[in-house]
Amino acid sequence: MRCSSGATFASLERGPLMAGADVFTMEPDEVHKSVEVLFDIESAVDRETASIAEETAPVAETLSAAGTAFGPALGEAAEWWKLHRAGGFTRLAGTTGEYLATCAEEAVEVDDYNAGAFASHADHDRYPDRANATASARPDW
Amino acid sequence: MSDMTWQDLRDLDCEAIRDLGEAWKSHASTMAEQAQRIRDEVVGGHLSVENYESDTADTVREQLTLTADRFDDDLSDYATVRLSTSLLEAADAFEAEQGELEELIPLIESHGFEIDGDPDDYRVKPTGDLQWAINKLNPPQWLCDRVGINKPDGFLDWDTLNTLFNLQDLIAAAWSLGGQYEDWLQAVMSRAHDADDDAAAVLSEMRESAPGLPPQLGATYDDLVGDYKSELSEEIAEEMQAIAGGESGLSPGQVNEWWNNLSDAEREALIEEHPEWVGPTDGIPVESRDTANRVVLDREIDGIGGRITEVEQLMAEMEANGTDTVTGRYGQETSDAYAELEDELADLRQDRTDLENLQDHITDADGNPANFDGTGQPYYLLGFGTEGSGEAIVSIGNPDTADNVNAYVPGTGSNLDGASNGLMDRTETMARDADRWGDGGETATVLWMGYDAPDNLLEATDDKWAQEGSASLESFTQGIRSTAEGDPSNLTLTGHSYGTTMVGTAASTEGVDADNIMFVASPGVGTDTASALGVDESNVWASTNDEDVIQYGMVHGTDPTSAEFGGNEFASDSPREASAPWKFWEGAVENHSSYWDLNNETSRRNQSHIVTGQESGVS
Repeated sequence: MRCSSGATFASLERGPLMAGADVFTMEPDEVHKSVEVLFDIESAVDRETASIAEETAPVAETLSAAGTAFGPALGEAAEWWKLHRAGGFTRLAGTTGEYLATCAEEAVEVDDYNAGAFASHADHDRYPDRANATASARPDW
Repeated sequence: MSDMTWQDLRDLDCEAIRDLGEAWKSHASTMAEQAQRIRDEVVGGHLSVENYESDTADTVREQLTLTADRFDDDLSDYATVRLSTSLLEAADAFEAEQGELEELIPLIESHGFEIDGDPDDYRVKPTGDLQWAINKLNPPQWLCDRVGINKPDGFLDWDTLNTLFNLQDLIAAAWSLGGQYEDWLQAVMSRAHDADDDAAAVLSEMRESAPGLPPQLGATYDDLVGDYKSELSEEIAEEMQAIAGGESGLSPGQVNEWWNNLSDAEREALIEEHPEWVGPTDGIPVESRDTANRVVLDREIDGIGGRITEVEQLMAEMEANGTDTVTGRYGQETSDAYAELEDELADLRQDRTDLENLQDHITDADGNPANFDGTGQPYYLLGFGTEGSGEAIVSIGNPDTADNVNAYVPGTGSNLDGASNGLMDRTETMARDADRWGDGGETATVLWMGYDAPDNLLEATDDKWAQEGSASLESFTQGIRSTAEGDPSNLTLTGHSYGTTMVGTAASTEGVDADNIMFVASPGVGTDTASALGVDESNVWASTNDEDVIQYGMVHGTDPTSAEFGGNEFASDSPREASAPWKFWEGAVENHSSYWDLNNETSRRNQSHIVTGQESGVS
C-alpha cells in the first residue's frame, strides 16, 4: 500500500470486502480527490433534481386542477424521481465517497463502512459541507 | 381516469407542458454528464489502478460503475423516455384537440347550441332561444339556408307560411347539425381523455416496476451484488416483455426511444432470443420486426404441425379402442371427444395452410424475403396471428423509408386466408398503382388486418369489432411515425367496407396519426361528420360507386360521400355486371368489391393520387 507518505504495505488484514486479496496500494490524496468529485456530483445532482422537481410541481398542479389524470401522476413521478432514482444515485455516490474518505484518512481500507466512521475519522476540512450532523441522521450511525 | 372538461382542455397551457418536457430532456442530458464524471474522473482517474489497487479497490470501481450505469439507464428510461416524452406527447395531443375546440366551440355558440352532460358523454342541443326562434317561425338565416327556404321577414307572408310548412324539417336540421357538433365534441374529448390517461399510465407504471439500485458498499455488498447483476442481465428482456404485453404503458414513440437507446448487441439478442416480443411491437423499426416475425412464423407453422400430429395420434387411438363412437338413439354416433378433436384438427390444418401460404407469398425460392414483382419492393411481415378471424400486417415496401405509406384496412370476412389471396391482391394492386401513377416517390402499401373483423353481414352491423380494434390502429399509425427515417411519410388510411368503420371509429375515439383518410364503399364510419376524425376535412376522401349495394346499408352513421358529412368525394366506376339481366342484385353485390378491378381505373387512379399527395388530380 502507498499511504499518504508514499510507503507501500502488503497483505493487510482484510475484512469482508477484501477477502482473498494479497495486493493493496493506495494513494490517499488521489482517493481524497475522488471523494471530492463524488461529493460534488452528489450535490450537483441533488441541486439539479430539486430544481426540476420544483419546476414540475406547478405544471402538475395546474394539470391536476384541470381534471387530468396526467397531473397527479406527473407530480408523483417527479417526487419519485427526486427521492428514489436521482436520490438513490446521490445516496450511493455520497456513501461511497464517505467510505473512500474514511479509507483515505486512515490510510487503510476499512472493513465495513458506516457514517459514524466517516464522521469520526474523515478530514472535514476537505469536506466542509458534510458535517457530523448529516451523518448522525443516518440509520447506521 | 381523466375528468377533463372541454373548458379545462381549452384553457390548458400546452406551451408550459412542452417547456417542461424540454426541461426534463435537458435535465437528463446534464445529469448524464455527472454519471460520466464518475467513470472518467473517479473510476478512470483519481481512483484508477495506479492510485488504488486491491480487491476492494476493484469492488469500489465496480460498484461506482454499476451506479453510473444505473443512473444512465434511469435517465434514459425515466427522465427522458417516460417523463420528457410523455410531457411532449401530451402537449402535442392536447394542443391538437385545443385546435379542434377553437374551431368547434364558436360554431356551437354562434349557431345557438349549448353543451350539456358529462365530459365523457357531452350532448350538444339547441338552446331555448334557438328552439323559441324556430317555434316562433323566426329561424336563423343559417337554418333557413340548410332547409332551403327564405328567412321570414316578420310579416305574415309566403315565407312565413313556408317556414310553418317546413317546421319539422327546420327542427330536424337543427338537431342534425347539433348531432354533428356533438359527434365532433365527443371525438375531441375522447382523444384528449385517451391521451391524458395514456400519459398518466406511463408515469404510474414507471413507479411500480422500477428495478432496484446497486447495493451500497459494506458488509452485505458481496451478498447483494450477485442478485443485482442477475436482475440486470434479465432487465432488458423483462422490459421488452412488458412492452410487448402492453404492460409498460409506453407509446410507440417511447418504445422507439427505448429501442434506440439499446446497444446493437442488446437489440440483436432480443431479436434472436425473443422474436415473439419484438415482431408485433409498434415502435420497433420495420426491418427488425420483419426479421423477428419471419422466425416466429416458422416456429408457429412447426408448432401447429406438431399439434396436428398429436391430434391425429389421439384420434387414431380412439378409433383403435372404439372410443371414437358411442351408442346413441339411432345407433353408433361420433363421440363428443372425437368430434372436438375433428374440429380442432380442421382448424389447425386451416391455420397451417393459411400461414404456409402467407410464408410462401413473402419468401422467395431461396428462402429469402421476396420482392413484389409488380414494383420490385420487398415484403415486410409486421404481424400475424391465428386468433379469431386471423390477423396479418404485411407491407410492400419499407414504411420507415418510404415517402408515402398507404395502409389498407379491409372489412367484413377478412381472414388470414386473404392475406395471401384476395386481400393481398388488392394491396398489390394499390402498390402497383401508386408506383404507376405516383409522384416519383416511393410508396409503401400495407395490408393492415390488425383487428378481428366481423365474419358476416349480421356481425358487421355491430361496431364492437371497430371499437376493439381502435387502439391497435392508433398504435400502428403512431408506430409508423416513430420509426420513420428522415421526414415523416405522407400516411393514408384506406378503409374498405367495414374497414371504413374501423378507420373512422379509431380516428374519432383513440385518434390516428394520419395525413389522409380514405373511405371506400362505406356503411358509415362511426361518426356523422368528417370534422370528428382529427384529420383536416380537406384530407378526408370517400367513394361509393353508383351500383354498390352498400349505399342501402348505412348502418354506422352518415354516408361519408355525402355533402353533409363534410369530406371530399372521388369517383369510382362500377364495372361489374350481373350474370343475367334478371339477377339485378348481382351487380349491386359484385360492385361492392370492384374498386381495385383492372377495369376500374377511375377509382384506382384517384386512390393513387390521394395516396401520393396529388390531390389536384383527383376526379
